[in-house]
Amino acid sequence: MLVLEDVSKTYDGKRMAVNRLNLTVNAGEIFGFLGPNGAGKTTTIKLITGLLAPTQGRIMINGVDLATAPVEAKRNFTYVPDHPEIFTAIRGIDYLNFLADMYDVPASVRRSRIEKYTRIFALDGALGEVIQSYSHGMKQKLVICGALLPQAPLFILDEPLVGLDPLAARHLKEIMKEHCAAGGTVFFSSHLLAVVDQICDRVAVINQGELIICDRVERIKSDYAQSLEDIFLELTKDA
Amino acid sequence: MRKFRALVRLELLEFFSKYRTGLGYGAAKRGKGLLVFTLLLLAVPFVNMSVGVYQYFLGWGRPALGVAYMTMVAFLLLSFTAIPLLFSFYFHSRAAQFLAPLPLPADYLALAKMVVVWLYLAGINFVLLFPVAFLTGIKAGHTVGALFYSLLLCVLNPLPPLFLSGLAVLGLSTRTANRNRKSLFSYFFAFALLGVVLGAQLLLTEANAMRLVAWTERLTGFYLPAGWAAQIANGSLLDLFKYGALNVLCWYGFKAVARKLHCAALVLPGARPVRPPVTFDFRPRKKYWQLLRRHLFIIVRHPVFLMHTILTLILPGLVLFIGFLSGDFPVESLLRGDEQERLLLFWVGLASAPALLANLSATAITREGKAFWETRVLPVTTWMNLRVRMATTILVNLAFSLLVTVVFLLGFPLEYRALFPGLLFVTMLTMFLAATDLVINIYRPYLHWTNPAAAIKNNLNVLLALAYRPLLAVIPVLAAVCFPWLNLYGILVCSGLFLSVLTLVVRRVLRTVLAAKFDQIGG
Repeated sequence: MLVLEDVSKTYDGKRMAVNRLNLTVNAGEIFGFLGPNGAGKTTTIKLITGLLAPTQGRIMINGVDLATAPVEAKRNFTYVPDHPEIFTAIRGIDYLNFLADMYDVPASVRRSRIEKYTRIFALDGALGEVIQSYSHGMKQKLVICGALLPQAPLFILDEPLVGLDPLAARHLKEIMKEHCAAGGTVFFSSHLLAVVDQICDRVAVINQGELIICDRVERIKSDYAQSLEDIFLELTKDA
Repeated sequence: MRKFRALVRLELLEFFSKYRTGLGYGAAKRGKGLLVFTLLLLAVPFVNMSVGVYQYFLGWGRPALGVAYMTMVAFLLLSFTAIPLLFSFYFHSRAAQFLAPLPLPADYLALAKMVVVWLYLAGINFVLLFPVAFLTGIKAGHTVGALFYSLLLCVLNPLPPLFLSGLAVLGLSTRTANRNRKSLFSYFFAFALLGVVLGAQLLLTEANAMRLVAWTERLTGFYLPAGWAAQIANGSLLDLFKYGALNVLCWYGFKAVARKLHCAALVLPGARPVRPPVTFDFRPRKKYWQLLRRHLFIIVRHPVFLMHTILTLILPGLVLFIGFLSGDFPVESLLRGDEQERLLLFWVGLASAPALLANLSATAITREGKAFWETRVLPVTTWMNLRVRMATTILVNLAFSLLVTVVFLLGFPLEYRALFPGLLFVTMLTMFLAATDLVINIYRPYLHWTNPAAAIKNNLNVLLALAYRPLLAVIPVLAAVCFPWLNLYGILVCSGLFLSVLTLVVRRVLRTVLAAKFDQIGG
């Protein structure tokens, strides 16, 4: 579903934010992307979403090269950033309709999907309100609803659980599992190792722009005979 | 008292920090100097107006009536300034969050804000009322007294309008605590303020002379402080006592109003109006239309962007209208000699003004700020992303050019055959500038602004866009030189066609070369 081949990103030609990253995320799996602050997680996600261009390497999404066919590639994923910085002078419903139009969500399913997701995240009563009146958590939920709406094969989330209440966080985790059970893929970064341990099929740890480890969660834990938290701290101790 | 002084100081700091960031000067020492310089620059036209009022009424042998006139103008001006300021201070203050829980009497918190507004209004009085009062005092023969009385007037004059504004804000507070309505009120009072300043200037024409003197005398009977101020400037201690007594009364009212405003501010923002269920429209729309709508909303729904855009668009028409009214630019001057060519030239200039002044494309990327990423991750082509930004500029500017055209056709006998060359030129100029300004923004995107004024008013892109516009005069000049047999109509058609070729070239460069640069923005 997602392939990163030898991807590097340098800023100003000197600072290496991501260094020759090779990663394959298979269809149907929840993939956790871990790393300490400043390790290159957000840069990698920005490269995958096309917000940044790699200095070298290739990114394939569902078999489509992001560099040569960006529109086609972008149809295959939706993205939830770490901060819900969106245009807030419109109503919640306008935001969702906007995204539905951008991803060509058919009229026949649009209403039911909007109603479904906004009900799950308890936003249905606030859709007629202007987004700037929303709290941080509500904005985050709205961005998540918008990203779920097109039901794109790949769901990319950067720290998605920050700002969510426990119930919304549980709903999101369930949706992620359902999405993968239906053949979709989830790629998400997080600092919440317990959550990663709980829901991820595979994890990758990045440190100083380089991939340290990438494997199934159970295998990593059995190899190191430690908890995921201890393994993470050991792997990134020089960060 | 020490705590109260500290509170006033804090409120003053917040006020000036907002003012400074609003002007885009930052917090550096140089920024403070620039702030003072800007304030001095702003004071010049008001001092000029005050001196002009003195000279005007002196010409009629009634200099003290000038003080009464300016006191009434100041009353309106101070009220229209105070109302949005009080809204901002009480209902939308950043400091309120940490001040409210402090162990301070509520009166202190309430009054500190009022004192800051009063100081601001006293400053306005200093440039508006002081010159006319001081000159009137000098004329009346009180050299030292003139200074003393004029300064006293500046101190006494703001309290009555401030007290009444406080009452007005209190009455409207339940309706305006909502953020959107706050913006609406800000627009209203900003335009009212503009109306007072322009109206006060326009009344000072020769044609209005007799009426103005009579009006001032009559209105002084309705607003007694105006008559007292005139007498104070002449050195009347009795009137000083009367104005002082009114101020004491206002002070007590002022304290009560401040306290009530403070309490209302603590209660209101948390209250959300209960709305009836709304039915939503789920019909799909075209991507291009949705993106265009988004960019139009960014301008229309953002108070600062909207205000700036409207003011830029109406400025040339407003200047002209004032010129017509004041007689500085008589309508007859347009209807002399080669009437049609003169009218055509004048109309084309006026209809081109939105494209020349409202350089919306120069901030088309910047305006999105931190939300810029949204359209970048969507499955739309970069070219569509760029095209829609240009289309927003073209739509807004051309809509206004067409409005100007309709108004012009209603007021002046312009031949209909002049419409085609004129509209061709204006349309192509608008399209060309929409494209070239976007090039500037691609090279100079500025997304991490916190104050919207910095995104549009103080953005160097705007200055750069304005800087190259005079060069466009070369195009019609070149057409006239290369094709000397052409009349004005022909020159406009020729220039329009040349601009259309240039537009195609710039759009081609945007699509093939600069699209890649656009894709690197925001990383």
